[in-house]
Amino acid sequence: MRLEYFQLIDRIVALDLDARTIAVDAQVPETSTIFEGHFPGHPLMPGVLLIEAMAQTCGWLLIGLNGFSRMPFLAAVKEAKLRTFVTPGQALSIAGSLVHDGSGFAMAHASVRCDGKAVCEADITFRIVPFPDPSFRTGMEDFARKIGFPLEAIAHG
Amino acid sequence: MTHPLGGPAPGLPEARGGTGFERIPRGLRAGRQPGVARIALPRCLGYTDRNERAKNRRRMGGMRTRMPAGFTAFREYPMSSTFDTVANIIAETCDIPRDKITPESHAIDDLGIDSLDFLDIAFAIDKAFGIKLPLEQWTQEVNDGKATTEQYFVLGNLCTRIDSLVAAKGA
Repeated sequence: MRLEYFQLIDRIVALDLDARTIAVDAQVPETSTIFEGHFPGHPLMPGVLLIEAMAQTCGWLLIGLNGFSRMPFLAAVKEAKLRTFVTPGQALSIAGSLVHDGSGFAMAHASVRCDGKAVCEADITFRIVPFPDPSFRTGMEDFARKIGFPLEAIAHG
Repeated sequence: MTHPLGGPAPGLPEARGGTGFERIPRGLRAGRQPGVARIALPRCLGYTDRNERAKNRRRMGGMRTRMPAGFTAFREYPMSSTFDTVANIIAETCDIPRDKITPESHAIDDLGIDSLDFLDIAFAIDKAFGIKLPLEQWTQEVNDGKATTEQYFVLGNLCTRIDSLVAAKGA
């Protein structure tokens, strides 16, 4: 994770387009300016960033399903539950699954575990729209390579 | 009748503990059932009595459909079933009083449903009817001036399109 750059997942470990599921790893950094304020002397991974990490996880699943033809944007978060504190240095496993593939939108469910223990979960709604410009898509493809996205499994649209 | 998202539809008999399919005692029929809004329709608008319904069932090969108790006195148009489902979804999803939702209601202009809330409605409709509302296509047609929002978002029209999508799925 690079919290200041909103890079909240490190590696895609499994992407199953038939089952419409994804699994990623995310290592919470030991240090970050964010921990200086959240909270002074008691650093905690902000819950909103855990939700963002779940959204990014499901977002990569949706990009995989549409073959990098369109971009999912976060639209709604429901039933978000933050069950335990997450502290610097912890390794998180995030799982995402598609609940509904709508026309121009999708509903997904994500959950985070740490050492086998449930950390948080949420139901997430995305709007799915064409990439605003070609460079946006190129940037996403470049980042996909960095996090181990199985580009060879995707038929580009 | 159960709401597609789970739980009984508000205002229907099972919301008060029943199954929705039990026989109504004679004294509670035709608008006397507490908590269920009923409108007595004249025969020309679709009201049928018990003998006519039995005759219709015989004519249709003995098929007997079971409707929720609050709806037993009305002819069973496919359209009304679709509208009831859609209206209940909208009422529950957007917290809009059920009696304000009519086939003539425009989802956006009359009911004030915004595009984000409509995603929840579309999700519930897709699930309830096993279809995929082509929202992107509709939006494109409206933006291109090839269609008006009334054609898609007046609920009666929406229900007609849902029925068409369901029929196309089964074809």
